[in-house]
Amino acid sequence: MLRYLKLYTAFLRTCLMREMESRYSFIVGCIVILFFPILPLLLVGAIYSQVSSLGGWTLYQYMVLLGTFHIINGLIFTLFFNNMFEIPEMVRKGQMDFFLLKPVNSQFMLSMRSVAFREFAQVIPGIVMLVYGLLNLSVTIEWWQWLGYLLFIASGTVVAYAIWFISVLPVIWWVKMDSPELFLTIFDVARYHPNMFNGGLKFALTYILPVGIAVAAPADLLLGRLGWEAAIGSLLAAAVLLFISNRFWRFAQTRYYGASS
Amino acid sequence: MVGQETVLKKPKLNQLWHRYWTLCKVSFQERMEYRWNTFYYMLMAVVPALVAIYLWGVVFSTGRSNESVSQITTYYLVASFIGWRIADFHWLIMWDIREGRLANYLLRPMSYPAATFWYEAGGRSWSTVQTLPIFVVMAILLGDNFKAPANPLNWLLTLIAFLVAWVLNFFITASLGLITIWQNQPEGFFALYSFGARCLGGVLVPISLMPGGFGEWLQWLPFAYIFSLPVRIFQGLPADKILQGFTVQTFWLLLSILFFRWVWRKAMFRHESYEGGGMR
Repeated sequence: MLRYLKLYTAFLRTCLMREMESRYSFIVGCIVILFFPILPLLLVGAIYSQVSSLGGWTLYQYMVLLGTFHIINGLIFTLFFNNMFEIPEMVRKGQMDFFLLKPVNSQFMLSMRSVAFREFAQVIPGIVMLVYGLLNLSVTIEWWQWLGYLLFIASGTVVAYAIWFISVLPVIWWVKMDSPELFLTIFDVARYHPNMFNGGLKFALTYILPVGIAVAAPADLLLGRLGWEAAIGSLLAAAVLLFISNRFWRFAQTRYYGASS
Repeated sequence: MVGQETVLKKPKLNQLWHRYWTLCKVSFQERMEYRWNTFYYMLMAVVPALVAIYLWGVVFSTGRSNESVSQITTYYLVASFIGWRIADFHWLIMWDIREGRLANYLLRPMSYPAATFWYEAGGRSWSTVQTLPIFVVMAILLGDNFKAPANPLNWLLTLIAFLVAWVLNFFITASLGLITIWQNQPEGFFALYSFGARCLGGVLVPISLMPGGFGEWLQWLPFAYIFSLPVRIFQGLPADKILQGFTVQTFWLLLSILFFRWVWRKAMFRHESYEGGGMR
């Protein structure tokens, strides 16, 4: 464990040095990234100009959910974006051989070695939306709720990572994949609470691709809406999906053949 | 000397067509080679359309609105399809510049912008052929909630508006792509353009539903004439509004062509190639 911690610290240091090579580009990049969570507020404005509550969520309650979504989104972009985008390219060029031969867990190497620090800027508008929503709701939040919130943010990030990793792995069979961001399109649905929908979409967001509950659980906890079944379900989903991602990766490795080195 | 004159002779129109049509076919064949990849790509178009339709279904079932469910459903299905089919060229041009491929094109007897245009047109045609049946099935499943125009003229005008929008977006995004010559890491700007243009163009929210009179202001920008105009024509825009739409779209097209020519000239003065990365 300590070895992996040391390795990850080394990754962080290298990535930070690389980002700081071009400070101007880093700062401009951060400013540009701030706009990504802001533009979809147009949709929020359009929806709440039509209705006062969407599936039982008022505007300020929804801002808490949206803020949470952007915090998790910012985290997965920072921690995994570069890594997931590089996997298809590595398969196509046969560069994955290098990772498989290293004396470290290959899933860890593939998923964690690159950190996109500038993407963390997405978290800032998320926090602003969260605080804005909470202040307007005038709710009192206990310290244990904040602790639980952080725990569910972590489990939500793990759920998102596991599904993203699983969705990229078919490239080992297909060789080419232009859209490793398919997961991001799916994850984007998590900006809405599963309860806002009915029928098939609610079922899919809860049980098949539980990105919905991954984001909803922390927001629900702060708003005092989280039931114990959903709380356990959310944590369990993180553990099970992480396990499945590892098993799928092991299976995918047996089908991998290096195209070149 | 005679040989050089032969090389410099202006090619005939049919020769030009043959040249670029070949590129179009190459791109078409490349996409066919990796069919699963295209299938995955296609899912990315379908998921947002489905979610938007579901979401607005909930909004209209719980609130009051001037727009009917069928109008909004039709809007989102067509807007998602169009938003997905209109190609952004800045990414392609960025990689061509970064990896030194632009220099290779400049040395060949073909126009780089035209080659890029036809290459992408070929690829998009193939993925459109693949995506269209899914959207048709979705439209059938939506039943009465999807209203297609009965008049063939509406279909024709929609197609024309879509093709002009395609060319307009080509000139805008190609100009944007050339920024790579000055700024080596423009990915952030490029991603923001692709996302922002669709948000402000009416793919994320219909312009008529945008809050606080924001929609009125957006009518002055080109994005509404790239993503929104073809959908509005499809939904039966009145004749005078169609004429107005085409006029503004043509204005933006001419302006974008002039702007692209200016940027291209400046870029060619500035361009330095460090390595030759072969062809695309």
